[in-house]
Amino acid sequence: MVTLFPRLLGKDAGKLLDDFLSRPRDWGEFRSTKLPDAVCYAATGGSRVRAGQLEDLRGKILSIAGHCGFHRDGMHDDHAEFDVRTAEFLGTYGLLSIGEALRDDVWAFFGVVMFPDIVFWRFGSTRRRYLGGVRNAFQRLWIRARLLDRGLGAANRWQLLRDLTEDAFVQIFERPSIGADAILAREIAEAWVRAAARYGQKRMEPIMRGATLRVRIWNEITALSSLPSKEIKRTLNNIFDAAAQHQASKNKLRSGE
Amino acid sequence: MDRHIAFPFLTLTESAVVSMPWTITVGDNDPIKAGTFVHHWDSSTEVRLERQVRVNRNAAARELEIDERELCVTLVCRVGTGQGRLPRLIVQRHEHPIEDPDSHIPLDLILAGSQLSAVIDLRTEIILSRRPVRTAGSLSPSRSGDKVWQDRHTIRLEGQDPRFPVQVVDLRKQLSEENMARAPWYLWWPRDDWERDFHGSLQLFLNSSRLGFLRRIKEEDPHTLQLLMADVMGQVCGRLVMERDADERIPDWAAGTLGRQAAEWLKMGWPGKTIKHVRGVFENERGRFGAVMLSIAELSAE
Repeated sequence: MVTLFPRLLGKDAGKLLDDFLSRPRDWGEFRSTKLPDAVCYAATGGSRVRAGQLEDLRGKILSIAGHCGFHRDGMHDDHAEFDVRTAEFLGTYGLLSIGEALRDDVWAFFGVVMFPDIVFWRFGSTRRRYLGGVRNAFQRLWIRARLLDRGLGAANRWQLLRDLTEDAFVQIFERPSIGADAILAREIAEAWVRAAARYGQKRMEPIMRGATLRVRIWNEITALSSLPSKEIKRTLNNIFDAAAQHQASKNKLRSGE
Repeated sequence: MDRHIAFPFLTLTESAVVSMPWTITVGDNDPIKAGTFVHHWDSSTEVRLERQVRVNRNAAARELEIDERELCVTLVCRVGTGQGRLPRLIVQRHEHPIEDPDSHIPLDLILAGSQLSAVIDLRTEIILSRRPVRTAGSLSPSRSGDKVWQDRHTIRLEGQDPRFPVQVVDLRKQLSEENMARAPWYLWWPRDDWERDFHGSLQLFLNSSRLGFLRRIKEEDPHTLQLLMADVMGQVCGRLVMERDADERIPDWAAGTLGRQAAEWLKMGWPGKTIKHVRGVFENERGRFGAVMLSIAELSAE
């Protein structure tokens, strides 16, 4: 039986977010037994999540945030650590089915109704972090965990969540032509780690942009994710090397050498 | 074969590949030919999709100019799901090597409702599974993974997400603004998010206190629908032409996005004219702009 999560449609999410952002520090608390009137559910297809389950979910994420500095005076805020731990948690949170988790309006509920205090702590007033979509504070973490999971029992199962930079995540997951395919997304992430070891993490932003552009073009005519694992690795290494060489030539030209 | 891409190598035609249409079985219903929409679906409902693809290896080898003994091809089917022009997640992947001279490959996919969201995106591809070593033409595909044939079928799960969500509400309560309380409708849409999927991005609220108007909508009165659509198009197009860099950005927006849809409406209204020209009309001759919107609203409804 699918557990149906609350949904918040675009206009209502915007309105509730306006209310929150007008006085973010005065936000009361999340009350799972009294959700806003605008909240709706799929009419059929499963059973609605229980208030206690929502409380439990909020408690677990609050606990992660607490360990990362949220509401802890004097403690350094560690947003990156919050992202990693929350992604790991969401990646194994069994109550949220794939179908529900792919819906923007479910994540808008997370951002605007259930966790606006945490989103404000993490991202301030940036609206897209609250509303549903690839930039939603929690939605982006769920998809990362879903696709970059090396698998139950794998050594360093979630290491890719720690290794990649925010820019690298954005390059993969904000491009559905590559970010929807777990095989390709994970192989690109692994190739990024190898390239960062070769070229240095500081130089990776333009290299990653060049590499993802090449992957997207190449993937139109060649099914990269259907190649044997060794061959994908070799192909992606070559793509990152080509992007790095191109970047080096550009830098050379710029510096007038 | 999907002809949107100019492939830099030879690909297969209908002489080598015959693909049957997908059939769909939703829950306990009878199988039917898969269209672009499924009504009355929910996440407890299993979906079964079936089709058969027939590949003639001899014809394929001839078309690709690869010796048949060296031809290694595989049929790959990927199932994606999630809101948007492209799927958000590939949930199933199937591969079938094509070995018989006259291969009939049955695809039979069972998709749990809990795996699905908004759209089922079915991509069927035939790829080169091993590069030919000796005998191949200069235009033959030469890398393993090269796509020599592909097609795509997208099915929208209409049970939950109508293309153009319409709600009947009390606008006085909904908007908390007295001066809008007598409006027959109110359109909400995500301003400036032009790359968003057009389907489902506009929300139309009809005023429950305007009974006569609601009746005309229900009866599908053509003039009422024309006025309503002209307002929708006018709001979106008016906003787009005021984007300073719209001319440069439009080519980047994919088919099916809000931005591309608005650009299509503008093209219908002002064929061959630039955005700058339409902006001038919008800024200086608003009546003319409105009349064009009314006109294309009728054309789009036809």
